[in-house]
Amino acid sequence: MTTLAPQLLSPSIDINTMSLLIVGKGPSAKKIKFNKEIIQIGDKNYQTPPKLETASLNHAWQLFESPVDYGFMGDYINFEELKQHDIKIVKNSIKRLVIPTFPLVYPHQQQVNNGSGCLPAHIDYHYKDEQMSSIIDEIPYYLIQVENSPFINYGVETYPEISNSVSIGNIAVSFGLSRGFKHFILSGFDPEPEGEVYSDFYKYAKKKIDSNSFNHYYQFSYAKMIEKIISSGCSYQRI
Amino acid sequence: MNQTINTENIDRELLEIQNLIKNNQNEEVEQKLENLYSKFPNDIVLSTIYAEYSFNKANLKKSKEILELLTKNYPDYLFGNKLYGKILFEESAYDTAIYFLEKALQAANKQNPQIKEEMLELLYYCGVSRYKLEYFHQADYYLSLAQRIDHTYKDLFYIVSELKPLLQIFESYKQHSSDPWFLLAAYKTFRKSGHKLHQIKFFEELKEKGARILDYDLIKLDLEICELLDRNASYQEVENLNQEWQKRNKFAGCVFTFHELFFDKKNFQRSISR
Repeated sequence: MTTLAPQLLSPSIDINTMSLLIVGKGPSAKKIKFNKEIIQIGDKNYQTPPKLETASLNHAWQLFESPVDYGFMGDYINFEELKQHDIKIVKNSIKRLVIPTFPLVYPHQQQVNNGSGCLPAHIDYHYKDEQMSSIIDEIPYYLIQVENSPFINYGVETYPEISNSVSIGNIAVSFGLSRGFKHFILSGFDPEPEGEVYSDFYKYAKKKIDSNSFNHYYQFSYAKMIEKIISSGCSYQRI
Repeated sequence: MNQTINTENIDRELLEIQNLIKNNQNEEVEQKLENLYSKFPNDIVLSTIYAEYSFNKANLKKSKEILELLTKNYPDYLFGNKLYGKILFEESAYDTAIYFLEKALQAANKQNPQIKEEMLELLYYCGVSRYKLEYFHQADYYLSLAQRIDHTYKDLFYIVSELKPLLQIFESYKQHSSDPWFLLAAYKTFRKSGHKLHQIKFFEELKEKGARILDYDLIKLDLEICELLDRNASYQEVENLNQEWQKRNKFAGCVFTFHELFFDKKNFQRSISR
């Protein structure tokens, strides 16, 4: 890290504000390195905000050089990919996993990986034993239920308000809001039409995704995220 | 205003004036009121009627002049304080308006609890306008004000507690004024909370700054639907627009969810059944 005086990341927040840095894997995603004083995002240095916690979406944990507080894991393909990594590296990179349920099959999930990207209702949560025991035996995890269904109840935290737009970013924001975070720092989010999907992260789905529809889904999801933050009286910034 | 006039003590002339006001004989009324007021400037009933009359005729200057004297002579007088507060509010002097409206609220608690709600509403709007002038720290005060009121004023409490996120939008606006995503979220938040003026303001801004990204026509259509709902249009009218909206909103450029529209529809149907 350089010794130059770092600028303030978010001048508007006060000492007691809890901030959550959410890192996605859009084209503008940058490497992140931080300690208690300085946070380095890409080439730029900032002062670490007081009470900062970090969250990564799906495989964005690889962008962190320090362990992530919350590693959100959305779709099934992400676990498939996670298993390919060395478990020791994963364990040192993610402090806690946050695993949402997707008990219903959503249209956009059918788009991803031709419908097999999501977890169908009947295998939901059983996969924790079958598919990912090697991971969750090692790393502490939260289970959260995304759908407010009268028929399905896992007895875990529910986020019914997400049900109309299930995306891992939305879940991260709702999770943050419910835990009292008031300021959200977003990195690696590119909802603009000219944005392209990071090919490294989407090697499974790349061929099957129509890039236009994917962008619109991103827009839709991002618009929801911002609306959620704003309508809860919280603030955000995009880096 | 009729409630305030003590009919036992009222002059015949005041009764006459009241009749003239009812019959819209404005020229005579104004002359008579002026003559009478020059003789009895300290009469509480006369002053109230004259101030109210001038206020209704948009003669704020005269009304203010009378009320200044009236509130000086009768500092706890409910209607004097209320009207003076109203006028100051219209003149954007929010601090002094709040001072007089609070006095009126105290008086209303003792004398006339029925209009307490009206006073709180006025205070609320004063508060809102004040926030626009960046008196954000007052938000907590108005929240506690609403909390103090008993459960019959739940609606008002709801309105006031809604304020906080809206204030945050104004605060964040400086930072995000050119971010279309922020403007869109602000538009949708104000749309949900029913703050029409702000909704239109952000709609206008989206026109300039969001064109690159958003399907502007879709938002325009959304605004049209809101307007139809506002003026209680027929169900068919709204349904036609809804269908057009759904045709265009094929996930591509999608910024509103079906859920939101569904909720609007439900509210609409509910309002019709009433």
